[in-house]
Amino acid sequence: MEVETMRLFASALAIGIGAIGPAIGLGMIGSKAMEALGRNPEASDQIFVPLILSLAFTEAIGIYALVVALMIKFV
Amino acid sequence: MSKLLSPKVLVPTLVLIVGLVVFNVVFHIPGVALPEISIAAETVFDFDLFGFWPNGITNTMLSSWLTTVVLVVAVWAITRQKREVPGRWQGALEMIIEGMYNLVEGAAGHKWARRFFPIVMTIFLFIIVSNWLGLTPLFGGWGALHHAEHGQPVNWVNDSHTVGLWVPAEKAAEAAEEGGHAGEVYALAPMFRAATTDLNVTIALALVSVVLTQYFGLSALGIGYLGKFFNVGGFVKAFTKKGTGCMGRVAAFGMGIIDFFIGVVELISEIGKVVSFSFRLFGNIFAGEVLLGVMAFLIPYLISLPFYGLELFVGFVQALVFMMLSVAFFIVATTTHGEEGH
Repeated sequence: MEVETMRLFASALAIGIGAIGPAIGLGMIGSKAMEALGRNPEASDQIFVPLILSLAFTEAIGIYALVVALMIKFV
Repeated sequence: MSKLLSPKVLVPTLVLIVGLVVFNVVFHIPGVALPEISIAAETVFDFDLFGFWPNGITNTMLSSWLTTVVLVVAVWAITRQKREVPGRWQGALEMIIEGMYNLVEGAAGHKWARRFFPIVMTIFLFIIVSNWLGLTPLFGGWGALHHAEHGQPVNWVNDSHTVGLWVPAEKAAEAAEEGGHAGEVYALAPMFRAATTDLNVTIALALVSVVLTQYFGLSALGIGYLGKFFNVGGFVKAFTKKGTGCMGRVAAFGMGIIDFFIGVVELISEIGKVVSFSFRLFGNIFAGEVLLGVMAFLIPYLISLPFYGLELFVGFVQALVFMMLSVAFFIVATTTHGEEGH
């Protein structure tokens, strides 16, 4: 394969495969948060900040994949 | 939400959309050119300080100055005449500050919130203003055109070729028929680009946050804070603890080795914090700009509107996340090992 083709493939694979893990993680965090809210709706204030923080940590992994994909594509 | 869906809003929106479609069919509005995506910030003014400043003044530098100016001027104008009963603007500002203070106080407690709040609120305001300014029409759409290998043609507005419209490549053929300069392609270096889409800015913010973590840790726990990283307490205990036999000492020594390596891991994680802070913010905002640009290119004018709303939300969430993570790390640094577990 040519280098340019390889780069296209590599960037697509980087973000495509890299998004799987964070997607599962975000779904799990979301579902657990909803579960917690359903059990104890008054706790929403206490749940909010840890929820945002754990979402951010998980999402960061996806963002790493995105940055790698962008770098392969454009740098 | 119901206000948004009322006929008062819906009807003009529909009329606007139908009008745009009809206008496009009749007059052929020029499409949107795919923006030149570059991870490094573009230089807009050459400014070489005796060779020490090779990149000149970049568009992200300009916009970070603009962000600062906007913040300073806005806060100065709002707080110029403070009143006992706040007016509309002062009330809004007080609401933001108070809400954020309560958030930080809820996490860090009264004593530490007073010290954490000024710095994390400054970071929050800088990031959110920079993110949201990046979505205004002032940013990204205009700037210096320069010759490039892969670019888009330009429809010049005036004869001296100083003002031009950057048009998509498929319009090049039409431009050529009308006697334009189809052969020359240009790339656009936007005059402003959101400050947080520059990795340098986000790394600087991350360094501020992580260095301050060490500062707060040192000021709270004294020199003992460093024991977290250079953890030799286990070895000392293995040799000085009384009432343990030979095997007990060996076991304690083994635990000491584990403690020491945990300290090394802590040290590495401080570096990891800089990386994750900076890449998270940069990646989110930069990807947002790319997303908006590509969406506007694929289906001009309409399809980018929902993504625009998404980017407003992401801009806020990333600022909040940067702030709350800083607070969380400050809290971890200022509490001793014993308290941490609970």
